[in-house]
Amino acid sequence: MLNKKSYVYLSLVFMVSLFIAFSVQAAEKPEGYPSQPIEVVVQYGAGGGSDNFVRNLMMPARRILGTAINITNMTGAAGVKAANYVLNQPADGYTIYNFSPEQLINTAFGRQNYKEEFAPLVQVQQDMSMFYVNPKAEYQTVQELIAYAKKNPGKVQFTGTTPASPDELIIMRFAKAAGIDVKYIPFDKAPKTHAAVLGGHLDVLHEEPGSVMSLIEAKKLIPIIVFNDKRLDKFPEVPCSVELGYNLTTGRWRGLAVKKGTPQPIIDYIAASLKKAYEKSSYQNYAKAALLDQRYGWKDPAEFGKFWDTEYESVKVVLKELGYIK
Amino acid sequence: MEIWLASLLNVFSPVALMLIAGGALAGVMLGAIPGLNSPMGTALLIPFTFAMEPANGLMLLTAVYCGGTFGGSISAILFNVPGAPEASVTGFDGYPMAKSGKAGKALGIAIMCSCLGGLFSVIVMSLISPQLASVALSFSEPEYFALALAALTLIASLGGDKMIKAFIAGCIGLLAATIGIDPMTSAERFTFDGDALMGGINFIPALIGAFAVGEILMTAEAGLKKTGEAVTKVSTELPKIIELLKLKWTILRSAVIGTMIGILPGVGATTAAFVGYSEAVRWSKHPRKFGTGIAEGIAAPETCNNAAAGGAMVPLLTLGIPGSATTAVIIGGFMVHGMQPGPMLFINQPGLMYSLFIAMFVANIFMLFSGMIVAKLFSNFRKIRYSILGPCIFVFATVGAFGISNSMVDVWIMFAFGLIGYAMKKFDFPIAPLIIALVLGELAEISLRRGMRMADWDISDFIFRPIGGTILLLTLITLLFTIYGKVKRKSKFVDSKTA
Repeated sequence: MLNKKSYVYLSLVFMVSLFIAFSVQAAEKPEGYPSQPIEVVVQYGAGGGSDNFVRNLMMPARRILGTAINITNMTGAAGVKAANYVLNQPADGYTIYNFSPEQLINTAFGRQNYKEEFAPLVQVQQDMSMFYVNPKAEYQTVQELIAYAKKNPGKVQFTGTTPASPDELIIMRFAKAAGIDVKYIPFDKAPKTHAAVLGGHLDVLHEEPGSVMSLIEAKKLIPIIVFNDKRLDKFPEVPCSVELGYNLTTGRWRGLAVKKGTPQPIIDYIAASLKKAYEKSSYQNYAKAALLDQRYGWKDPAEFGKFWDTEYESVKVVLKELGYIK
Repeated sequence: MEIWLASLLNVFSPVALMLIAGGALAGVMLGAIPGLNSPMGTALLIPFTFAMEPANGLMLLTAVYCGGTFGGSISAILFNVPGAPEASVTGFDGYPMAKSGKAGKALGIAIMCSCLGGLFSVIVMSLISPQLASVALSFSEPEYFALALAALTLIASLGGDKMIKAFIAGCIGLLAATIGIDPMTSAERFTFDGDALMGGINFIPALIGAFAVGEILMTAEAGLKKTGEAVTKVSTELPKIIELLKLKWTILRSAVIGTMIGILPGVGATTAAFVGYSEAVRWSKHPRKFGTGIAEGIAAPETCNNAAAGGAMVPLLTLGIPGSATTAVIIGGFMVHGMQPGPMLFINQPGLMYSLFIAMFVANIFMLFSGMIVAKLFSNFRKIRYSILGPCIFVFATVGAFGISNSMVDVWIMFAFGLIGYAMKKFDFPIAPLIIALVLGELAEISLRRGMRMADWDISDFIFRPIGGTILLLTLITLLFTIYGKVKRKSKFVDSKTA
């Protein structure tokens, strides 16, 4: 039997651990926040991958934060328009920006300066890049594609969204690693790239699997490589980049930021609340359907900030190689 | 057949019918109010559809979509401020007709033609969706370029006698279309090292500015001695059968063009309306009357944009590729129910697809009624004196410009184009060519450049193609005819003078 003393000890340990758990789990609610609706600014059109991400995350977040959350789509100029809007708002945590890899690229171009403008909030998703070909193409595997491209330098046409985009960067890094010379033909909207490859006008499509799942299942697009360190359960026959000897695993990540100067307690509180929203089944169901659960994407504010800096350095290197910046 | 019957029952359940009727009405309202539009409306509704049966939720969204495509025309006709991009062209003839006191007739034609165009595309879509989708995929850059060029050459016919002035206006539009980040190389063009113009000139604020604001400035200058047009009663009158019969070829042609352009990925109802208008001018016996307020000028774009709305559902449902902004949002509506539109959905859930087709058909009929109601409501504005209505339009215009992407830059663009429009009116330059060039300039430029890069700069790839080549040839022929006709008329004019 336990004596009285050990009960005291036990309850003490219990209370201490409870206290620690609480102080770590729930970032303390800042006084008076939120007292007005929160606006999330998305620099891409309604219905796209980034828009779906924000809407699906904010649906449960509304209840957790206890305030209205409005989503505003402000397209154009690779996100500069939307960024300027956010920067014109006070740094009080009521305006959240959908921070995407384009912002790092814009910084390299001198159009934005992420270091001075934004404070990291959270990264939520780490998506994957895949290449696809038309089922009628002469090559149906990545090895055949490389062999064909070596025989016909400059003939194979890759497509993705917008020039100097994360899409172009990964295509060009792959081409360099595989030692092939390819063409990149950008479109301004992703659906047009799908149509161009489906119609046989262009050869290889770069896309995240979630948005073309139905076309893959109907065998209208054949996936040939996934940029990951292992094969996906969903497509066991598709080789991953690492097993083929290409150390390329970057993919589009999706996250949020606030204006620099926003008080840290508010940042931490929003981050903790979003984490709860992220864990809710309504978000997880969407993530599962869009194959966004294959790689763990969650990053806390500090981690996300560090990640920006390392990503920025590698983006700069590739843009230099492609001749976009000096 | 069984599936069709089951789907029919699905649609004709009280809940579904109510949702469709409500959706169509909401869509028309959203479209009619400048600053609100159907992509926005559908995006707002998606969270609500989460709690509904998937089929019901999607029927609601498509009904809003159908209604919204028409709704914009109401404010385009009454105030010259299109409530939605799809209605941009409707104001070219709709507003002059309303100004001449026939607002009710203009609205009636718009509603009727929207309905007919919508019904046509739904029927075509439910019969041959898969085949249409493969036609859409056969279109590549040369075809897009040919389409854009065909519509652009019609600028020559639009200016009436002022061909040179129309040409200059068109060039200004083309120039404005090049502003912003180059979509092929990401270089900044004419941005003057600032951020404001990086996103380019959005054509809606430009259009609202050039037409509506320019007009207000002109009227203000002329003085408000007139107590406004003596419009006491605007009752929307649907066109009589005989009037519709007169428009039959315009409507049929526009319905076919609209459906075809609608199914092209990423082109959408707005471009369809422009092309439909251009073709109506091309085939008309009296092309010079366009822009003065004639029935064909309303029937063509209205039939086209609603036909395109139906057409845009084809690539969405068969390939998962949205043909327009609103259909891109509707994808989100599928995704909240864990479905992704595309070929598999057609195979796995044919019942849902057929229900959607029937729902769109019904929505187009409901749109006819809700259109009448909303048009009646809005037309009360025409009873207001211009000295009060003018400033109101000014407010609509500002809100409408801001609402497109919630950006002040668009409002400044609208004001700048207001001054341009004022100057153009003052010096008797036609404005429509400016807008057409601004809208189609980007499509023409980018499809040419992208197509040339794909073809390794071999021009023969552009010409020797069955569809693209035919369109280019037709364009060339009509262009030569137009110029020949003008020159002949001019020489006749000179002859009669000297004689």
